[in-house]
Amino acid sequence: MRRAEPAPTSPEPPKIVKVAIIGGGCAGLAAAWELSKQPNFQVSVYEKSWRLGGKGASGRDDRGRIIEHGLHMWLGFYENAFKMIRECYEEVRKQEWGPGQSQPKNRLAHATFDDAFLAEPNIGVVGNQADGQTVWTAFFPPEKGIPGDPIDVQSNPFTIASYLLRCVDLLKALVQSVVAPAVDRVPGKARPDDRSALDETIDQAFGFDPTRSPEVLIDSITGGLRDGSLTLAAAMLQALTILENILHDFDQSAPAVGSALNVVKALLAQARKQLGDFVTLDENLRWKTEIVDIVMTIMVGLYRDRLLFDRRGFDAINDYDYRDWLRKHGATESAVASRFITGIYDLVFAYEGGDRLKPRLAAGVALRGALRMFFTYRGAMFWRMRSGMGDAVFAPLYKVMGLEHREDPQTGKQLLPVRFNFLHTLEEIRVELAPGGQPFVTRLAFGAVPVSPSVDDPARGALDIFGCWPNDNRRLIPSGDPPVPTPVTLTVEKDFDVVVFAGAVQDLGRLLRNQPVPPNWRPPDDQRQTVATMAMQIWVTESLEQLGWYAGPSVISALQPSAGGDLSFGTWADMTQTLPTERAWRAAAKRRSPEDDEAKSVAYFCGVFSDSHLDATAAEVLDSIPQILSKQLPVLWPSAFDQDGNATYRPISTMARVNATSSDRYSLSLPGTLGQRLSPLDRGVLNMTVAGDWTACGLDVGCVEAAVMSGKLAAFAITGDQPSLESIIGYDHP
Amino acid sequence: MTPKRPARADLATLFERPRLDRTAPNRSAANFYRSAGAPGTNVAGVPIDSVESAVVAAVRMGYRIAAAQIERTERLGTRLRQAADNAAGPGADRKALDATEQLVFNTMMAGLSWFEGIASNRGNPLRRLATAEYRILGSLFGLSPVPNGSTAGAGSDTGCSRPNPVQSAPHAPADDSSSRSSRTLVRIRHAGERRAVQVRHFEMTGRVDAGQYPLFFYGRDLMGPTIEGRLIVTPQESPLLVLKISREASSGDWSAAICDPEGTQIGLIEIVL
Repeated sequence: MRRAEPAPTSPEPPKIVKVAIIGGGCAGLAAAWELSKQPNFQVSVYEKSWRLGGKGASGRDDRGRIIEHGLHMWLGFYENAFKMIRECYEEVRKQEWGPGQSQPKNRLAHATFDDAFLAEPNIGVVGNQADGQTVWTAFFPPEKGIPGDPIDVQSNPFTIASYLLRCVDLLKALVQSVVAPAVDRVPGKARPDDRSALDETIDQAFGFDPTRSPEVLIDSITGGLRDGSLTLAAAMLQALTILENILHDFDQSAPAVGSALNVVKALLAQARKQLGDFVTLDENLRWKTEIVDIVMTIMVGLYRDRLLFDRRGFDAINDYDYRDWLRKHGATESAVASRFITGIYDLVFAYEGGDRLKPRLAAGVALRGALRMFFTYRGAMFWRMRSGMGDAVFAPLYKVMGLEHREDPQTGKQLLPVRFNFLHTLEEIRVELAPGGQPFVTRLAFGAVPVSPSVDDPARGALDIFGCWPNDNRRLIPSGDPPVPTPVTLTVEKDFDVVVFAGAVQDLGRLLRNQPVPPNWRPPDDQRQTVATMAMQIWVTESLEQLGWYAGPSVISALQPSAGGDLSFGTWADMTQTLPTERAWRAAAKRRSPEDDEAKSVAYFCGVFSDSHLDATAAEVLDSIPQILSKQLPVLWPSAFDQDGNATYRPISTMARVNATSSDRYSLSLPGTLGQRLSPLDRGVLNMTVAGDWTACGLDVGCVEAAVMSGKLAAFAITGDQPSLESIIGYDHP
Repeated sequence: MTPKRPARADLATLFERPRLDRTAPNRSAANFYRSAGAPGTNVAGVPIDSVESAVVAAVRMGYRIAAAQIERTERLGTRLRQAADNAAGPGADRKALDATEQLVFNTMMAGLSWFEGIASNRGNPLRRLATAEYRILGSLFGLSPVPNGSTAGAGSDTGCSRPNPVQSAPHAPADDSSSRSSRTLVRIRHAGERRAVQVRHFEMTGRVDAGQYPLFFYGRDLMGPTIEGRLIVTPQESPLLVLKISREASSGDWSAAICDPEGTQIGLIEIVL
């Protein structure tokens, strides 16, 4: 029986293992990336679309505008994803590809990682107040390093000690949050004066100007102390003491544990009473009180459920909904219903059936995600791309992996190019049993559309003149009659040795329904495990300030649902930083579009799309957008609406789409379902593995990072040693 | 339903995925400490041998955080004072600002009064905790250390293991009302130079008979001259301290033992010239 074990000392050259990867989304490409770094693996990717990226795909229309699948931001804890793309851009740099190249085959939207990604430290949420909706924004201090940097003993954020330190810094920054960023904030670089974010926060809260009158100074002192020190004294020190007591008393006799718990309860009650008193003095403190309440409740919950010492980690509470778990451990109802919790649900579209009245998110997944999001980010909490995700991520991956001559930077060995096969829709996976009963995939059958010969150009392939993905399949398909898919069949041993299924979970269940595989390899075709989403992009002639938004580029979540309708967006992000690359595309293509060049800002929106509207046509959805915006936008763009609520801003164009089918749908992390997920390491089918953010990949939530982790796991499942599990950051996180 | 297919013997020769030692994450807490970049058990300089050592490391880190907070708050206090200097300069305005600063800090202390409330409940397990935290908060806000005898919750029923001078005295009375401290009014009569004197600390343990007790105050220089005095205790009035201070006596701290006629120390008194 042959194995994929590397045999560098063998006198015979290692056998080439042929890998067929089904699906060219993040997970499939991550698997391809890792396998392509091994010299004895020949990888072929079969993608049903005309472009790579899956849910992250984007394309350029004939005016150079970026047409996205949705709103895509990378979080600062996406260590695995950033590591992959930074390695990729290192090769891009070597090849000297970029936007300014005269030869189209050498063009890409970005030449470097620094050009492609932009740190975003400002995030916020929208909430209700007595006098209407308000926006709360916070600046999250930049942390050392860039995601994807090597992690060593000194910089490892994945320790309890690091979490505690970050907790102090961040909570203090939160309760004293201000909108205006200070100076000298360069992600990944230490401040020149070596001061910490906490020092800066203190400066902002207690900064003194000698020219101000004593009365102003006194006001400043009083406000600052009330706003920060007292809240912290009542909350942070107590929280740390609680944690200390928890850790001290853990695993001792039961009475001691009970006593510690009583202490925690008493302290919480007292702290909440004190905080409640402060709230009566200052309405704005209510928001901050909610943060403190949530953090303290989490600490109590960690203790009561023994999560820090449970071998299952946070998975132990995945049967609970996050909100229910917080309630169980004493959070106030106002904290549970707060915009901060809503923001987390919005971030991962955690609404069953797309119904915003049915928020459901597994508590363990939420906690793990929140801890990693807040406490392990590097550089900035959010990273945005200066173009579409297709341009910034998938185009360079496509070009680099497709290189005919590429060397492993570590070993110098020649690597095999990855072959990409577009417009291949998988229609059959045939599984047969060996005499011992072990299942093997023996055949893959596709309905495939023949592509234009020009796509076989390895230097440019399926990309357009600017090195971007087109927004339709015209480049691949020869003009003329509509193409008819013709069957393409791959046979084991002849065409492939091992399969990575990186498509949609529903498709896997459907394709393996009648195959002799273990039951867990046949996930139910249950649409409730995923959710439809909708996205919108608006190019407008007004700048952010003219629209009434003065907090600079931001990501604002927890947008309040529009009254009377369940069609609404949950998140808004200013994406004005993409405008220059759109103009550059038009310049490269020599296509003038004065109207588009007038755009001063671009806004992206996204949210869940209720299954109850799945029958609606795209036109009906598009028609309803002005009404949605008139309800949701005034709080963000107050200058864009008159007193009667009529829009006064001038949109140049609006793009909207609904992602409701198959792999377009977003993977949910519903309570009670995580244990049923299939792991890429599962050896139920001996020459096949799976990849996708729907797998048991360690993060277990729909996002780029989960998909990349899953892809790496799939590669490990095939090679047995590369990449090592230890190098998959966060896989073993509690 | 899974279809019945004949087994294929030739499949046994196909590539198959390697067997793996692990098929799921190891989410234990000790593993959480492990460096993600390299296998092993060493993280942040703390070798992790067991969950217990992880706990100890976490508690140590908690203390480091508390210390860092204290240090930062001290910096804040320094800035406040510098701001006062910058804003109002020396003189009346500065004093006014200083007074405001004091007022604000007092307000902060009032905001922490709930600790006192908890600590005052006899037998409450929080009492011990509050005692420790009170000291932390006192340091945090730049206040001078609270005398042991007046610390809320420091009584014997708290189970506090820190030695207490009142409790450790050989004749510690059962009745708190019989012990005396600096809070007791001590009258001062000058028999020598009438230099300003402040009683910093006065403490008598055990039952004290009425009478006169000779005192010899020693300054920092134990070989230097002493200040003579006596303490007159009467049943009706507060103790009277008679001091015979010379012009040459140096300014600063002086202390004396209060002894009975046999020489057994029954108290102590500290003054500042």
